[in-house]
Amino acid sequence: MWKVHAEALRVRAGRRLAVDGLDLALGPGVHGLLGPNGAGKTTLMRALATVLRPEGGRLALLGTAVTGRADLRAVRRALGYLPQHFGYYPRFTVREFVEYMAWLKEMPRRDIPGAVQRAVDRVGLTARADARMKTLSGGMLRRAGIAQAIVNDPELLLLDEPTVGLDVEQRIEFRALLRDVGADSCVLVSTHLVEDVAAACTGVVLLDEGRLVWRGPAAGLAERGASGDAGDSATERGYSALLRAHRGQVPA
Amino acid sequence: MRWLRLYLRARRVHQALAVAVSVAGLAALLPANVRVAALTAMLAVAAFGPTLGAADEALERTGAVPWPPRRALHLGAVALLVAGLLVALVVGPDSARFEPLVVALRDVAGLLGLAALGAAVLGAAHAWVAPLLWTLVAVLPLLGPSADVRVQVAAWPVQPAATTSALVCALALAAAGLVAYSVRGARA
Amino acid sequence: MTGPSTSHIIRLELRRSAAAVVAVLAFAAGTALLLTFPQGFAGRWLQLAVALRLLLMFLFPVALAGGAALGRREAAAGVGELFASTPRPRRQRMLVTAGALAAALVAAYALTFLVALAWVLPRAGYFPLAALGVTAVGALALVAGGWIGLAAGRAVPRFVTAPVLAVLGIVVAGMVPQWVMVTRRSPAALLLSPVYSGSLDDFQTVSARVSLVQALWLAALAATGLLLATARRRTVAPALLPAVLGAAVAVPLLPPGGYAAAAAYDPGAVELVCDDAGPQVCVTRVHAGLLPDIAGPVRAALATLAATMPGAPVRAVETRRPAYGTGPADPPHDAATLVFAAPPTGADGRADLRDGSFPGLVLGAAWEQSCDPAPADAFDGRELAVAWLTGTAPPDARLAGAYAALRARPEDEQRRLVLAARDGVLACRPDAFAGLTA
Repeated sequence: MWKVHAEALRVRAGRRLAVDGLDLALGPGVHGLLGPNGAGKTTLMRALATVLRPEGGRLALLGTAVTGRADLRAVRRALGYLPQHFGYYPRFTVREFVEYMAWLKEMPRRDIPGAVQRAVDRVGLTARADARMKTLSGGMLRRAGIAQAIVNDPELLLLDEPTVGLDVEQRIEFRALLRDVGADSCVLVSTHLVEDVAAACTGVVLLDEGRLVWRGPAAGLAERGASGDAGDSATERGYSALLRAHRGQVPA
Repeated sequence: MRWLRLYLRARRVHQALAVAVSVAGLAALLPANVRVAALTAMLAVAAFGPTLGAADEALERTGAVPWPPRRALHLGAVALLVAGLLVALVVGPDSARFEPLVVALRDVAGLLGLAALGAAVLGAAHAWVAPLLWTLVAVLPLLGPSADVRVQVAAWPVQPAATTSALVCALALAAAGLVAYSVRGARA
Repeated sequence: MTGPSTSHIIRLELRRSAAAVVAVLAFAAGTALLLTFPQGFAGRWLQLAVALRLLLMFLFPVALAGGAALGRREAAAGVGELFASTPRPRRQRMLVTAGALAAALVAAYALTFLVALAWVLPRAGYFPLAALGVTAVGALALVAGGWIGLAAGRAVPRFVTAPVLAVLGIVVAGMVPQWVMVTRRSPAALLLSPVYSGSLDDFQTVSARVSLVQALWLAALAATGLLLATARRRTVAPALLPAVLGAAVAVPLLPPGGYAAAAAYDPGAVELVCDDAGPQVCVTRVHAGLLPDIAGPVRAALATLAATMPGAPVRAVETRRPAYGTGPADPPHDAATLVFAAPPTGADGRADLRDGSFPGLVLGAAWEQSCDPAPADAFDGRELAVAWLTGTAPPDARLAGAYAALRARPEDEQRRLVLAARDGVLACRPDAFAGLTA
């Protein structure tokens, strides 16, 4: 069973059709979502997080169809989501906010304190667990966002720009966390940082203008680039090459 | 002028103006007494409360322009605007309709000073709290025009025009608010 | 919802949200305002409950504003997208916030009551259940206000919602009823406002039926507020149903005339409590706290009367006629009883005897009787009689002439006129004071 199965998916963001005919099937593992700005990455994340209702096509999450009038509660219990603009209650402490999110995810009452402590430890915020969220720096705030996303050990973890503000050391630890979570869950990480994709992701999904450009292993991305393509690393060159090829095929 | 237009848009002044005009318009339909005037002045001032702070205070403070005179000018403009609204819609050309002009001006000055003080101490988001609470206390039937100085100060927005202690209280609030807000700006 | 988990979240909301701030502000300002007039409720449970309901004119708008500030929280913090991906329905989220707000507001109201009890308990003699009913209606009103504010803040999450709603609240619930009453019309709908207006005599109680109907109406209003706070676009109209039904049911059951019509004479409050250490002095139960302070002056007055005239009263009883409002007149009393009016209650619950008028008033009560119609010139006649008894000129300058004329007569003549006036009053003769005021 695919964790995420989309067929001809269409999702509207405002007036624009941001995701236009996307076919995607994701299994367990860490998948990197790449693409230029405006490619529809965030809209796709929102649709997968059941925040946006798809306009057309079929979408099944964790085996349950979510198009039409479906009851999404069961799917959402196994979901973890970190939005690009992470909103939070500033007066709550980190622990309290993650507890509140655990309650919102209808976790069993008994499991919540332990799960919260584990999540906070895994993101490295143990020392600041009882600090108010408004006192956190940008990177710590992002890590708190990751903590609330993983508190319920989700089967489908969606992270939109999770490494913003993280320093080098924290990014390395985060990649280890990703690999750990991705062992039996499906993790979709939307990011611009190609090194993160190359280091942590087992697969790469490349989007442009709401459509799938390329799908394959991370190492495969590097192989696609030639010395003439734009970019300072093999992965970046592969990325540019794929986009150029896709745009050449698509009429302007 | 372009700077002014951008500034007004950034501070959402047009929204505040729309609210203040609507409030004053509705108040013109109510019975004319000093309590209604005080509540109208307070609401109009509260509508402009959010304009006292920027969407990103920290960012705006890094600008090279000197902020204190601009903030003072902002307060002065709001005072004139709200007072003008009150005079036009609520006090009326024949002041027999309502309380004397002095009362409207005093209330606007004092409540705006209180709002500016609130913005400097609590942030622009909470600037409306202090004017609301004090005006609610002042319009209670328990207090009102009185000869007792303590009541005159506690209920200064509803005291008659000749009450010196109410005027002094309002001016003190206006001065304190002006100084605190011009110097410190809204708390981020 | 799993039980203890929800209470844990409610406690979290209480600690970290605006609910606690609203409650603290309401308690602080409410207590300060209440303690500016302790003489209004010292020693009397029901008057304290009514005083708190008077203060609803301030507390109700504060609850509205606080609810609105709390209601805009999700929009202001930008958590909408994050929370939309969670399974727990939005209604349950709002229920927890609403629960925390209600708990905070009721706690603030109760705490204000408890603090003011320090002025009531030491000298209280009468505990009517109506005090609890009146207080419960006030607490319910705060909850309804808070929940309506919550709905408004969620619907219009702008800064200006809270102050506008507060002003709407004070105008609709506090000022409009007073304006309507000024136009001499008093529809039953006036009692839909929880804000008490006017004053309650010590011998009156608030009708239990009115409190019950008000409680029903406010509960329906609170339900509408809660439903609106958790409503989706389709469910807005059904959410208004409880309030509409509540008003439709309540208005026919409420008496017209505003809070004055809700007051009723309270027989329990006027039961007599007596001090028998000497000539008997009785006061009403609600004024029992004044008895230690007035027994002395009343007995001194009785002694003065006994020394000056035959047939002087040997016991004194407080009048049971309300100072204002409706209530039965005292039955006519015999010559052996003196019926006097109690002095006002001071801020400490003791009798307020500072202006020194009480002894004179008690003496004057010897020339008072429950008559309909009262004898002519009764007020002036009493003043002249008291002036004659005490030997001091009457304070009213108009009577100086009559007093001088009285004093100009021979001693026996003066005594005869004064005693005849007393006999005349006791027999309810309309010309009883003719001899004194001529």
